[in-house]
Amino acid sequence: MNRAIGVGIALAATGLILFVMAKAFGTDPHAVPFMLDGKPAPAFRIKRLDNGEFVSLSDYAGRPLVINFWATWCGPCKQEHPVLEAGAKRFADRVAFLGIVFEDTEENTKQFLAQHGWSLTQLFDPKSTVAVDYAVAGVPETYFVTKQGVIRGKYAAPLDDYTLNARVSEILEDPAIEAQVKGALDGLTQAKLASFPVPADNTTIFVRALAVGGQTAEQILAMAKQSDELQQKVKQP
Amino acid sequence: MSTVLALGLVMVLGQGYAPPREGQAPLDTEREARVQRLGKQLRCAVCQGVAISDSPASMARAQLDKVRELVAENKSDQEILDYFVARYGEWVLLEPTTGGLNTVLWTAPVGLLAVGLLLIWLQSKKRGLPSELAPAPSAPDAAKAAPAAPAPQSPDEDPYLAQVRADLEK
Repeated sequence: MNRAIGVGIALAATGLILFVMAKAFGTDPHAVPFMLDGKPAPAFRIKRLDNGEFVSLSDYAGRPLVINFWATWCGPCKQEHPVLEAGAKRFADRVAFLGIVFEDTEENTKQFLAQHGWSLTQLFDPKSTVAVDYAVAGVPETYFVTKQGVIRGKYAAPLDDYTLNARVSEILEDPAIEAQVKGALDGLTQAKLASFPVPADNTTIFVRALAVGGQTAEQILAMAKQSDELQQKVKQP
Repeated sequence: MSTVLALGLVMVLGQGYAPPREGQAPLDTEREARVQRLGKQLRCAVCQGVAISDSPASMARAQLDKVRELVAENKSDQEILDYFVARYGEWVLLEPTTGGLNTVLWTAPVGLLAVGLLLIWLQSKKRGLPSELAPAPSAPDAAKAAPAAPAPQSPDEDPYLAQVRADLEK
C-alpha cells in the first residue's frame, strides 16, 4: 500500500515537472512577449524629421501601415535600411511606410538618411513615448498594421525582401492575393517538394512574397519546382 | 522643490531614486514615491531582469516616465501594471501574480517539501527507525500502540547478520 502511494506521488511529481518543462520547451527565455498582436495600434502624434510637422496615426486611417523603429547606432537597422527603402517604393500606392527614430539624435539621423536614402516618412520620438506604447524591446522592430488600424504582428529582426513582402501581403488583406496563396500552397502540398514542405514558415513566406508581387499560383508552383530541382542537383554527391 | 523632497524621502527609505527626465514635470513627494515603488515592480524591456527604476537604460527611463504620466493621471496601481502587462505580458512583472498557472509555481515548493516529508515518514515507519528519529507518539497512543508495535530487532536476531557471522566463522 505504502509502495503504491510512493509510486503514485513520484509519478505525480514527474508529471508536474514534465508539464512545466513542456510549457517552457522551445521558447527563448530572453524573448520579450508581445501582447499587442490583434489589438488596435496605439495612437501617436509626433514630429516629422524633414519638416517638423506633427503626424498622427489617424492620418493613415484606412491605409495599411508598416511602422519601423530604428536608430543609426544600430547595425542591423543599417542592414535592413535598403530593404525598407525598396519596399516603400515597391508598395508606395498600396501601403504607407513610417520610420520612427528610437533613442537617437536628429542630427545623426538626418546625416544617415541623406547618405543612404530617405524614401520613408521619418518621425522623431525623442522621449520614446511611442516606443513604450508599442512595447518596443529593442531595434530594429517592424509593426504591420491593417487598414482597420489593427496590429498584425511585429518583426523583431532585420527585414529581408521576402519577409517584408510576405508580411505586407498579410496586411493588404486582398482576396485576389489570398486566393493565389491558397492555390499555391495547395499545389505544393500535393507536389511534396523537399525544399518547400507544407506547412512550413519558409514555404509560406516564399509563396506570399511572390503572390504579393503579382505571381499566380501556377507561376509560383512552377518556380518552386524549378528551385527544388536546382537544390536537389546541388545536394547530389 | 518637490523633486528634492521626493529624493530625500526615497533615499531615507533606502529605495534608490530615478528622477524624471528633462522636460517632464516632477510629481509631489507622495506620488513620486509611488512612481518609484511601481518602478521596482516592472521589468526593463531592453535589460536583463532589471527593474525600470534601477536601470540606467534610456528605454527604462521612458518606461518610468510612462508610469509617472499614468500616476499623474490618477490611475490606480493595478491600472498602471495592467498597462504594461497588456503590452509585455506577465513577463514585465518582476513578481509573478499568484493566480492561474502561477499558483502551481507558488505552491509547488511547499507541496514538494510536504511530499518529501511524507515519504521520509513512510520509509522510517516501514524500516522501524530508532525511537529518537521516529515521531514521538502521545502517552495514551503509545500505551495502545505498544503491544502491536514490532519490537526492535537486536543485531543477534538479525538473520542477515547471523548469516554473515556464520560465513565469517567458516
